[in-house]
Amino acid sequence: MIEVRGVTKEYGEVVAVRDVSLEIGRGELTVLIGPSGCGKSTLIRTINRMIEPTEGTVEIDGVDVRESRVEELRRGIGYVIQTVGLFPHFSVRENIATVPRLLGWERERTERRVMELLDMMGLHRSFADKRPRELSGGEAQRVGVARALAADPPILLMDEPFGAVDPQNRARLQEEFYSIQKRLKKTVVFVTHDVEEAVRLADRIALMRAGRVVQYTTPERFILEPAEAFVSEFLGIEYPLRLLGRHSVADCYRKDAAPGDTPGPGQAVPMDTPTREALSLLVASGQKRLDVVDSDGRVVGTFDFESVLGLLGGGPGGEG
Amino acid sequence: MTDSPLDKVTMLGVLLFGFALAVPAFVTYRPSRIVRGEPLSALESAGPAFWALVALLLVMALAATSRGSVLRGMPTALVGAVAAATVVWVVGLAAQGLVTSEAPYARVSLSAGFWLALFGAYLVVVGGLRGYGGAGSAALSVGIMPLASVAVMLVAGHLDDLSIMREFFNRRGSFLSELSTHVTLSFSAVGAGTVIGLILAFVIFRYVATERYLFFFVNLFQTIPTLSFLGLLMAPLAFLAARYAFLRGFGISAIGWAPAFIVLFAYTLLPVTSNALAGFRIVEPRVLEAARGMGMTGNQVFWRIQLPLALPVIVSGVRTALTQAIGNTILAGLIGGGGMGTIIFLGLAQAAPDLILLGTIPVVILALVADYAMKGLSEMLSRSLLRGSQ
Ligand SMILES: Nc1ncnc2c1ncn2[C@@H]1O[C@H](COP(=O)(O)OP(=O)(O)OP(=O)(O)O)[C@@H](O)[C@H]1O
Ligand SMILES: [Mg+2]
Repeated sequence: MIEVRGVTKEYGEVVAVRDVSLEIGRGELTVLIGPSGCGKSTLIRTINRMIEPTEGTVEIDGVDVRESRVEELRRGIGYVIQTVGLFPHFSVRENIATVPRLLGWERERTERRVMELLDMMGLHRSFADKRPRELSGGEAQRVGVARALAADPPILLMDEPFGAVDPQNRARLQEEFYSIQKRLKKTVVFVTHDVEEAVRLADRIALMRAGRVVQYTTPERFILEPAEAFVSEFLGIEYPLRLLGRHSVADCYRKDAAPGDTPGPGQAVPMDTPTREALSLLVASGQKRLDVVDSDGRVVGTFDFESVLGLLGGGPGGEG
Repeated sequence: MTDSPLDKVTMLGVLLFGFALAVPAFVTYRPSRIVRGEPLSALESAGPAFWALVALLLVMALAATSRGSVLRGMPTALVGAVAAATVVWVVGLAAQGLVTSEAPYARVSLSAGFWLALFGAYLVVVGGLRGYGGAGSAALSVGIMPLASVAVMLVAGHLDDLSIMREFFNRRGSFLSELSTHVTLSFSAVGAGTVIGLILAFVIFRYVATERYLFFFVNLFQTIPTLSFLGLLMAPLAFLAARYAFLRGFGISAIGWAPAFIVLFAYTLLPVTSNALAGFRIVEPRVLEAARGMGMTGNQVFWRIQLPLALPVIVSGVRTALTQAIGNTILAGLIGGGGMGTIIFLGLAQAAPDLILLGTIPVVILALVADYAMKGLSEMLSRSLLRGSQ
């Protein structure tokens, strides 16, 4: 668990981060979001002491980060920087192996790990011998993430890790990272200024503005209880719809079918349809309700506007 | 360059070459070393071999003016290289023809025509290589070909009747020892300067506040003219040597190798320090951020990231320093420090141009070779650091 307590960072007159306190649960993915210059990078970098706060403390599992040697602390925290920053004179293999080498791993173990990470990131193993120059933006980002994961650190700090890729690749990287994270269950602090990305990945979101955390809660609660007008303004009018993308029909349909029911004359939706799509189908059908069917085509319940409202109104907190 | 019908450099080379064949002084003939010379044209001195030069001139002219691509580029460069080698061969023949058993003490010196022809051929090579589109190993072999031919001619004794070779045979022993002194002096001074320059760059890099003071000295050395620098060192070195016997034991005195070494060393500092510093500083901030963020210590960041990335730039600084030092080492000859300067200044004192040449040519070749080798090293480093696997 990461505990940020009253952290302030001043640069002369500029207050980059102002009295921020956050508790980040183990195995959770917390997104820091906010407009450019609001202090996201500054805040995330106080965790691995790339920046020393002017005031306040950061604790990891109850231990002040200042208590360990700074290099040791950093070797135990995966770090993906905003601008990738691969070492241009190292091969992809050497880039990924950076921290294992600092930790003095054996050659074979390091090599196995490099291959494992290339597989995990969906990069062909032959990439190991390439240089960063020879990679596309998306490939470089993957290598950046692989490098951060190399020594299997429990904590991952990611500062706009997918910032430098085009929207399509970005969505793919997000999906891949999401499924990796579901498996690895790292404690992740993830910086972005893209609401869509935040909604896709976050267990919790900390919305920042001018150095302060305006609100820190689950993505759903931002709709129910926005802390101030800025919240709805920043998240945008389509935020509720984006939120539906996190759920499937299975999370919200009404189980009101009697055993043996067959689909009515209208359209039916499979249970694993994303809610956003199901809503779209509902609107298109011109009806008030749709039958929900399971994988065998049996009717199991009803999907209607109330299911959607139930979901946004503080229903089950995410599918993961 | 490639698509213009006429390459200006090649054309100029051809014109110079043609002109050189016509000038009255291709070589200078003297019945003995001390007598006034008499100029001889290429036709007068070389006899039938003259027509080989004319033939080459025609081929080069054709290559330079042809619009077709066949004779452009590499072939042109090759013809130029052959022409350069042939010029040397012809001058050897001329000397053999002029120094006969009736006139065994006759001297045949290289004159304006010879040098012009050589320079013209060189320009044709350069122009051809430009048309060919750059350097690379092919260009290197074209450059080496005439040098290798001359080496063969030297070994085979083809050039032995030239006055410059006579001078060489007269002082073969001292020539070789001065050459080795020259190499030792320039390389050791640059070596020491590189080590200290790197340390200075590191200190400045780590402690920015020192930049003004350290660079003040490094720049100061560079602004003192070489000769004045040597003069300035005399008094303090004489004092030190008189005061401390162990310094005398090292051979340190107001004249000799010590002041030369110090001057050469001091001149190395600026190019090495400033290049190394620039090299350390061009490493992108994000790369440094990543290195520190991964948990590298300050030393690890320096040795694993900054130094390797700066290496090509550092090598190019050493290259500047080395080429400069090889030339400057000539001045060591003025103060008894040895080196090719000893031969050159002797030649000046005796008004013997061939002796001066004998001292100069090796220095020029040495500087060119060192320059080319360092350039290659620097390019190889940056290529292998940034691209290519392994
Ligand atoms: N080294 C520094 N010196 C002075 N001011 C700084 C420094 N680093 C950051 N700041 C300022 O602190 C504020 C927060 O910067 P920070 O990099 O944390 O923003 P950010 O939220 O990450 O922005 P972005 O989304 O553009 O990356 C900005 O106003 C910035 O100008
Ligand atoms: Mg930032």
